[in-house]
Amino acid sequence: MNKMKFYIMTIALSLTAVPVLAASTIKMQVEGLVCAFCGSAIEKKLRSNAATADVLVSLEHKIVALSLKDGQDIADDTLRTQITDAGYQVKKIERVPDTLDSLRAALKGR
Amino acid sequence: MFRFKLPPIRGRRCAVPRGWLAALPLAALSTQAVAGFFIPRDITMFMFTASPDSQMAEVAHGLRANLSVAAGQSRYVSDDGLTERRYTTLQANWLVHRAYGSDGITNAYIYGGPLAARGSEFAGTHSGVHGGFWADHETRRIYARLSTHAYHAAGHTQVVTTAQGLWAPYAADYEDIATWIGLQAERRSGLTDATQITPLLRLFQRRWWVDVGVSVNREHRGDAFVNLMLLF
Repeated sequence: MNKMKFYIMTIALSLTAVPVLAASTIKMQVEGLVCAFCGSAIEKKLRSNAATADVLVSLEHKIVALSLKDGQDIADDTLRTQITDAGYQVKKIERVPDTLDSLRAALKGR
Repeated sequence: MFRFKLPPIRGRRCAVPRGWLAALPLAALSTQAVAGFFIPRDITMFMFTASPDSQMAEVAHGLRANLSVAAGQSRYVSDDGLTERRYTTLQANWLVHRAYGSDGITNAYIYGGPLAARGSEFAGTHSGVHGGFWADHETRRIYARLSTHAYHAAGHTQVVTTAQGLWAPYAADYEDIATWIGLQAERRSGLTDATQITPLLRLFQRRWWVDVGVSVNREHRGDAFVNLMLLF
């Protein structure tokens, strides 16, 4: 019986861990994004991270998102510093299961 | 190259000023048009502005989120074409305040530094100082700016005051080419008694920016204005 519980617990934990491990996209709500010329500094900063695969900027939705290379990550503090250095303020950072392409499509469809 | 002035109305100089060509290689200076412009940390910006009465080039680099340094050269000519002033400048630009609103941002900058001046009113090169203030407010559809830049050397003070108001017919997103139309009013005390009024077309996308316009006030009618900026 204990063995059965162990298996169930292990499977349950694995299932909950999957979305976290698969979250290779970081989505940030950024204040002050009004101009692509000024905002391009954000893209440059984020692309300078070795773990960054691609970057998405939406002035309309005040969202900056980046996809991560396989198995890599960037600390929230690093992201916050980079956005601040670019002249903007981060309101929220979240890891989402969407790909950057699906996020881009969703933002355009809103 | 950037001068497509209409035929002169009252015999003002029409040839391409040689000073423009001299200014380009220096590629470093203070420009009234962008002296307070926000340069994010680790970003380098090149800017070039030209009209028949003034030409400027500047290279600026962001050191911190609120501090950048710049080097540049500018040349101003009086309306009668008899007085010319050239300034080679170094400056620090400090973003004093940035307010984040729900739809836009408001910035206030101060800037200043040493300069070297040459001109038709004095012999040789003189050292001096320059500095100014810049405030702007920007949303995705509206832009307003007021700035002033004073130069002092060899007993001469020149103050360039600029106001801009622009409107975007659509709210461009990051990938789009942004289009703005508006008006610039500029006054160069000591060189002209007129306020130069220039309708502007502004286009930019990510790392490039272009302003073009042609002045409409009587004293400067037909004078073309070009402003280019590139980020690296």
